Amino acid sequence: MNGAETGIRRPGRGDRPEIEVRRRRANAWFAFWTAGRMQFRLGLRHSMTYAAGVLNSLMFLSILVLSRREPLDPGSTTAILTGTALAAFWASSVWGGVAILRRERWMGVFGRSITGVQDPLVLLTGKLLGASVLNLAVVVASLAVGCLIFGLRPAFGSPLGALLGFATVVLSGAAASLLVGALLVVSRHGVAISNAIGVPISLLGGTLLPLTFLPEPVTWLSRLISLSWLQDFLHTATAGPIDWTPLGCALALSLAYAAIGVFVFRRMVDRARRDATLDLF
Amino acid sequence: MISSEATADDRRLGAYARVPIRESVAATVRLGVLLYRRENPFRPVILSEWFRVACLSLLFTLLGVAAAGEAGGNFAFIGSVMLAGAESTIGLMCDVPMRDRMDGTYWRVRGSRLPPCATFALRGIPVLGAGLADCAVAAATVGLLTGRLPLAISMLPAVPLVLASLLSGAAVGLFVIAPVIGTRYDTLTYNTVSSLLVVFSGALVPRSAEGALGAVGAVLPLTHAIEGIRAMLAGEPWLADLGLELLVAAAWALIAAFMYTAMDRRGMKTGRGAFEA
Amino acid sequence: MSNVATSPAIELCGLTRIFAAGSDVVRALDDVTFSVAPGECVALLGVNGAGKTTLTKVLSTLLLPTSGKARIAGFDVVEQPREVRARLAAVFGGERGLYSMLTARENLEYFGMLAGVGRRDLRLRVPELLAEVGLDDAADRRVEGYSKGMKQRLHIAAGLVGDPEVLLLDEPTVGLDPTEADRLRGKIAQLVDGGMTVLLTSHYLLDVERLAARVLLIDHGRLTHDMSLRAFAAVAGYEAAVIVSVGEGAADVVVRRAREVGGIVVAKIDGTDGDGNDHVTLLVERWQPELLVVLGQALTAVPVLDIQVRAAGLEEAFAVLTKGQSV
Repeated sequence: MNGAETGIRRPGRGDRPEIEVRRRRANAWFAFWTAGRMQFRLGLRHSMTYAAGVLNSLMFLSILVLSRREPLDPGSTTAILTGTALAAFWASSVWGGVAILRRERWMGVFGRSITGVQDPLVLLTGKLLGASVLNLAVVVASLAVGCLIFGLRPAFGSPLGALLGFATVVLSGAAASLLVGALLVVSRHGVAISNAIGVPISLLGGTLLPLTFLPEPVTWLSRLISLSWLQDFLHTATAGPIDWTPLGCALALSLAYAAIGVFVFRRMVDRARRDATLDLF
Repeated sequence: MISSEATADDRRLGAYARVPIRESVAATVRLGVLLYRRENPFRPVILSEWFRVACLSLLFTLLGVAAAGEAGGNFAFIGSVMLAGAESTIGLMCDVPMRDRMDGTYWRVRGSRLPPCATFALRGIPVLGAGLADCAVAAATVGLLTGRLPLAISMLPAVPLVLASLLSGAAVGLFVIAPVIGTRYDTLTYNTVSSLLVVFSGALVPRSAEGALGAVGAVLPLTHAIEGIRAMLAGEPWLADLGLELLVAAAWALIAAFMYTAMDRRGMKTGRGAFEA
Repeated sequence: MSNVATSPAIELCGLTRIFAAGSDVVRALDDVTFSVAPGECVALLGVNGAGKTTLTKVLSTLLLPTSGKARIAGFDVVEQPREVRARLAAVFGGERGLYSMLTARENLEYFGMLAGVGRRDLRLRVPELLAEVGLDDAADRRVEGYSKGMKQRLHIAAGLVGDPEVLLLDEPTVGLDPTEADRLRGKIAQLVDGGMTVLLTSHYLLDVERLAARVLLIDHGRLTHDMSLRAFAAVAGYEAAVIVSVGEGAADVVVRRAREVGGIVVAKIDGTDGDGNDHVTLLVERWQPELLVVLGQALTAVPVLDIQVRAAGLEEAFAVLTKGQSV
């Protein structure tokens, strides 16, 4: 995990000769891992992780299950569970991932993050993934409890497919959080705006509500949201047979989010250094 | 100068006692309006909140359609409009005492002639207006988008029920935040109450469907107001529901007053907690 | 590896930073040039808004200069920010700048990684630093429960965790009680003695007096003075202030007679207190005890109630150089 050894010199004074302090420097993997673990720990200790993950999961599940008039078959149950998982995950990401940069700015640690030896993007990627892994874990655990409460028995056609799907959910959540977070960090009203975009993305993402309920002119918008592809993939992964196209589309969209996010983040940092647009301390 | 009619108590209290209580009330309400306006500028905070409310109500209404057809949609539409107001009232009311905690001004609030709970309640008056506006936005936008504008219009006579639900929501908001101010659980508390309302108030899930839900819902804000609206739309009497909703509001307000007094005493005794002086 | 053997630790050449907001143009730094040798501790002074924070932001690569050059250990802050960051740490202190929900140990582990310290070194370095700043007993408590002083000590530890060549210290003793502040000054002095270069910004001139060997004064973005601490202290133009308290109406006599005594450069009436006594301040160019005898003779028959003598400090020098602007 550690990189090459480097050293710094201390000038001599009086009788003391010049000395060299040698130190093994941290490499990018160590930085990535430490940042992710730190964010995971922070999330574990923050009540919003549970407010967003547990409460949203159980609330959405209750609405979907209790408002049904007809009994649920395993296929519908699985569709409800994956949709709820994605919607609750996104709601958690709005707090857990999107807000990372904003909170760092509030706490006065953003300056340290971007003036460290490590690449700030490596750190941010670690943090976003750490937050996403925790958010998804909390959502899945909550839904497992929900299944016990409501006596639901989901079907798992392809556990490996579902696993791949959820791994992509984590990546996609981190990429979307990077993009939205970098866009909103300079806004004085970042909280209000990110709260406002949470629900429409869930709505357009076809997670809780099938896309057929949306008017035709807006369905193309849904296809720009990776959640809609992930919902399609998770549906086929659990009901079978697996269709890999939605997973590919979700990955491609996530890559696009990440690329735009990196561009926006770099510009934001450059602009902050040039124009002093952020109070970085 | 102290007036010649001042009581011994007034003289002991000096200038403090000379402020008529109605002036204290008016000044507190004015401060509440001022703080609300500063914290919630129309653009973009209120606009983005209205957008969020409209989207959430649309989602809830469409979920109703997906679950039980057009009738389910109508059912969820009424509930989602009422939820819009109650949820924002609870959230914004929680922010009122939180502001003093964040700014470190609670010791000044304690110095007022009004008890802290009354101060916060008076400062929360603009919150009721915000809740009413959220209801109107949800009804108008979702009504327009889903063809339920006539249903929205037929809900207009139910304004007293809406106001009662906003009052009970404000009282619950004031209560739930008191024990957790200054801790890391403020957001958890607000979100828990909001989730309970969504599931147990009968806004989106029929209350009669599950007995346990009905029992919990009876003591929550919004439940009786929603039942009243559904009764009103069905041409049935609804005044009893209005009375029950106001009763729920009064009960939560009393509990809130007790809670603030208890928290204040705890703060004085232990020197810690949400309201340490 | 730094080229410290041949380069100054800090080197500024014509550094200018302009902030423009609409038609308002503020020159926060205006053609600032100075250098600091390795192992030197230099105090950067100036009134609020003089440009000190902007300068530390530029040096710590948070802000780009509009023109001019700034180098740390020979590395340019614009062209070689990574090299600069590996050699420099800034400590800004205050309530912010730490992860309040993490413990001191967790904060230091993370900040150490940011500063490029490897895992193995961190295992040794973090407990060592926690003990050095006196936080070893509270190392596993969350920072949100820390006092101001404890947070300040953690800030210092976070600055030192990367073992920087150059340390930018902004108000290091703010929020600390006198004992703690003294302990911290001792620690900083130890670092300077160990060869660390320190650029100190502080409104507590006691910090400057104890730590710095040289003073830079910045005013409206321009470097106005660059002098040794001894020369700075002498700027006040007097060595001591004698405050004479007399009965009501006698102040004019004291001023008139004091002006006749050699060595008193300023004699002025300060005002009257609640008891009706007047106070006169006499500034003495070069203090010697015999002056009191001469002054006593000059003030014969004047109803003197009290005489106090106070040595001139850095505050006076600062006030003279900043022409009475508030610190």
